Amino acid sequence: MAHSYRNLLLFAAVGLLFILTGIFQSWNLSLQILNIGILSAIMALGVNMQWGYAGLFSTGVVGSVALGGLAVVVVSAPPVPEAFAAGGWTVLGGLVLGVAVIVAATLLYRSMKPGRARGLAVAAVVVMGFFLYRYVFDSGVAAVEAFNPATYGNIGGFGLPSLLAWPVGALFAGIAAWVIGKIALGLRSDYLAIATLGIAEIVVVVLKSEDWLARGVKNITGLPRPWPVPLEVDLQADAGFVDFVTRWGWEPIGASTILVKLLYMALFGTVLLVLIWGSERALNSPWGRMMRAIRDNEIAASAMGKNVTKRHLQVFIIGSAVVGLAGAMLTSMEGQLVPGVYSPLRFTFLIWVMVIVGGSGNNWGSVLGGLLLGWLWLAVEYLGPNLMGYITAALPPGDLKTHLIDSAQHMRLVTLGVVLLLVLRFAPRGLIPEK
Amino acid sequence: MDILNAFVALLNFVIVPGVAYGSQLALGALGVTLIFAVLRFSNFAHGDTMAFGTAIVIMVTWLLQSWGISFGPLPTALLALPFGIAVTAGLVLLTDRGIYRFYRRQKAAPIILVIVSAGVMFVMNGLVRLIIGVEERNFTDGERFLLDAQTFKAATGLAEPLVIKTTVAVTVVIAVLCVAALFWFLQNTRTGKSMRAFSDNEDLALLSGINPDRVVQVTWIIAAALAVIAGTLYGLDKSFRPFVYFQLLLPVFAAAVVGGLGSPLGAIAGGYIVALSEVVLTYAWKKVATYVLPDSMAPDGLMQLLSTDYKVAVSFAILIIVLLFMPTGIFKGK
Amino acid sequence: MADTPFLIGENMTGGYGTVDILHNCTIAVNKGEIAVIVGPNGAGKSTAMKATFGMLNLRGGRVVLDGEDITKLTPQARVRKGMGFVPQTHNIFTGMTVEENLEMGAFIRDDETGIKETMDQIYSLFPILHEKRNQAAGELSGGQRQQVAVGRALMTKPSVLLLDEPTAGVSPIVMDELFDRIIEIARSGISILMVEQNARQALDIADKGYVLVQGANRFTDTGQALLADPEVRRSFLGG
Repeated sequence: MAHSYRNLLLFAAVGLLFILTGIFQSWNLSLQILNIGILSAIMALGVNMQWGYAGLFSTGVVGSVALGGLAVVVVSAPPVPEAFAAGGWTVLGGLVLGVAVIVAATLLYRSMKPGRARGLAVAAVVVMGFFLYRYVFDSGVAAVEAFNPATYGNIGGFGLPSLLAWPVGALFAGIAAWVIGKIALGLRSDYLAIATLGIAEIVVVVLKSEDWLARGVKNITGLPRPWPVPLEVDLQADAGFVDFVTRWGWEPIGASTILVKLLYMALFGTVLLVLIWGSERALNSPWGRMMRAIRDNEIAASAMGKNVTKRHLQVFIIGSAVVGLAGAMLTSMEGQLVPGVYSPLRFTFLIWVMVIVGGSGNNWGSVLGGLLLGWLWLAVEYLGPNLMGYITAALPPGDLKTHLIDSAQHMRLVTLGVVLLLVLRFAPRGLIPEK
Repeated sequence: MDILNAFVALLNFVIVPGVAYGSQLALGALGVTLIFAVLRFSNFAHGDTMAFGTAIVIMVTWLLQSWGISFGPLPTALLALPFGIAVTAGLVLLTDRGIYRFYRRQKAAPIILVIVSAGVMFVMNGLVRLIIGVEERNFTDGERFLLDAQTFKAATGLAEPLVIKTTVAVTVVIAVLCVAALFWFLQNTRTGKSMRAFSDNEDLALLSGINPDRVVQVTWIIAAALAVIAGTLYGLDKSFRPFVYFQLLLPVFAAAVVGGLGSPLGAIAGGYIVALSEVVLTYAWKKVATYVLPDSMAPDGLMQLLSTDYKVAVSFAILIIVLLFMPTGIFKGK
Repeated sequence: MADTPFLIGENMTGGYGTVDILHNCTIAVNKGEIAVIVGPNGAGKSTAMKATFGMLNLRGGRVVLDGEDITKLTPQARVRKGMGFVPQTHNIFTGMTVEENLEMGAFIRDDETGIKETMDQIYSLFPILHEKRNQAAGELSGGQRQQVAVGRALMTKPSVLLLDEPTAGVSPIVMDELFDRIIEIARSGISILMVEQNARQALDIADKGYVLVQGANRFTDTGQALLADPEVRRSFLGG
């Protein structure tokens, strides 16, 4: 009883932070931080499944987020029929060919007896397959990217509703997790951390440099909003809406941005609640108990006949899919895919700090951590330079002062690292410990 | 003549840069592998330790330059190196004392130490940005070339030049010296042997009266020194940007894993394997091919297997192959 | 003299965690003698020996070495007091040469010439080690590895040597050979406390034997007397 009281108090305190931000800064800012906070909380839920339930440490959270973002482009970006006609099929054919080569090499490897002949055969398939793949793929890419590169140069999406992209984001991240988990799970625990670091970097590089896919660093903007969120300009043009808000004494522009954010909040909040409900049920089911048994004593669990690696793979995929879902939601809210924002510090390590500060193994803890650190991270971005400005007010203007004010943003990293280390050391169970 | 030209082009664009980069990776991977051998975790803060040390070296280099001190034809940064090593070793020892030791005494699972090292990485990353900012820094001075294009062409009469930058020569020489010194230390000194014994069998090392705190401290100091040297050589050869050093973590890990985590010899081999694969796969082979192939077969593309953006994919692919086929690495690590 | 043993673990009670494994167990060895602990599986033989070496928490009893109470000392400190310990497994540095293994054994000593002397003694005790001194210890056969392990422990010039099943997994011929060496070591004045699975052969060379059952002393006598005792024979030596 005392526990739930304490937890309620913690959530109330975080709620107060958002209310104070609303009162002293602006409600627009507060809601914006809250929405990103909810998305962070979902990502934290996913990471918590991996770490809290199963003790898996992945350093590739950002990769799942980015794959979620890519799903939004694939599903909901407007089609570019001319570009697709020019080379879309060739590109896809090239990709299928690439996968086919890998499958062929794997089958060959499995079917032949170990020895030099097998090594040579597999190498030959891989090398020839690679050149064939590049030949087909490159010609397709050239054709796609040649079409109107200033606006398009990509194969476009399906032009489907943005909401559909969310499960697809989960699917993309899940597939990537399956591949990497298949390889790195069951080995030393460090290997998963190292391998996921790599796959995440590769995903981000693909997004940055494959222009045919999502225009690379030229970014894709103007992605459609998820139902039922309208565009602010449409609201402002809507006579009924303007009439309604002016009657209440609000000005239409501000009210439209607030309404849009409230709708996002409701949408994201619903997803979050459904996920928590699902995770809580899973955690308290026989499956969840087995998961925790494996985490706490792998050797004993495998002695009891549990296939530890398979269970790990399962939970690793589910956790990554949840992160991918949140990544898709983030991109569909922002309405654009900017590969440059996918920094490992922001989307891998910040999420980790959320999980650990909130309480590893506790879903509510992850949500609390997500909201609290989501607020801190963004609030400090706005407040940090101001604060440094106050601190250095007495200094004469000059290099030192500019340097200090500029450095406020770097203090975020240091602070976050110190918070992580302090929590790990002095309160390893986090704010809301596992039951 | 064309064959010779092709060979010189190969040397100039693939072998020489590959060996220099490989030496830098090998030194970095040695640090990772030593920490792994003795403290038994993969240190995610190693890339940022390299960045931190290099940042200090750059600051001291600027100071020395402002005093008008230089190192003749060699980069001034080499004079600043000892200071960078001292400061970084101090910082790393502090983190061990204040952070890692607690978990060691608790006998925490390696994965906890990995997470803790990620926390340290965060802090160091922030410190580096605070100290020196996020911009690209060039701090190379002294003679630019050991062998420049014109001298080579004049001497050999070949169309293709072979250029050896001073920084490349310095990298290779220092890497060889470091590796030789490290192996001599590990094989022939009491402290070095005690490190190997501790890594081989910790319980038995304790029974033999080896002081674990001392072994751990010496390991951190050596790892820090290697990190600073690797980081500085990389920075001299290319340039310094904090974010790039974070990204070096992957090739460094790949090198250490390929060789076998915990095996110093493996780390060196791994460094060169990763670096040469990276250069070979991202080099545009058109030039070499033009010399070797008859005119009728002259290539029209760049003949580049992977765009340089995908350098990271090379380390990753190597890592995956090793994990799939020989998880303990070439030299049988742990 | 025989009344005050060189090393004694007296009335030891305790275990690794909260559950006690030893109950009022007493183990002792006299100067230059061989004491052997035997008993069925899970009787706490190794635990009793490790207890005298400080590797578990004692809730009761004490350990006295040469008249000095060492109950509170860590294993490392006991090494410095003259105790040598050879674990049952993982008892050598597999990646290091035989000679380096011996050097590491002498890590706490710093008399260069003394170390050399001890090493020569060990080489004359185990000539095969001298032959293979530059080979990695991990590449040796089982019996040779045990010799390296014993040799490493002897490098500290211990006054008492604890051996945890030194003949586990070696052939009968090698076992006899090892026991001969152990007698030789004891004759040089080093007390030997040893846990053995091969009870009959071990009691045969023992000056003192301890039969433990469920962490408590069941029979204590000279090795020969135990071998002659019909009850010991029936219950523990298979007739």
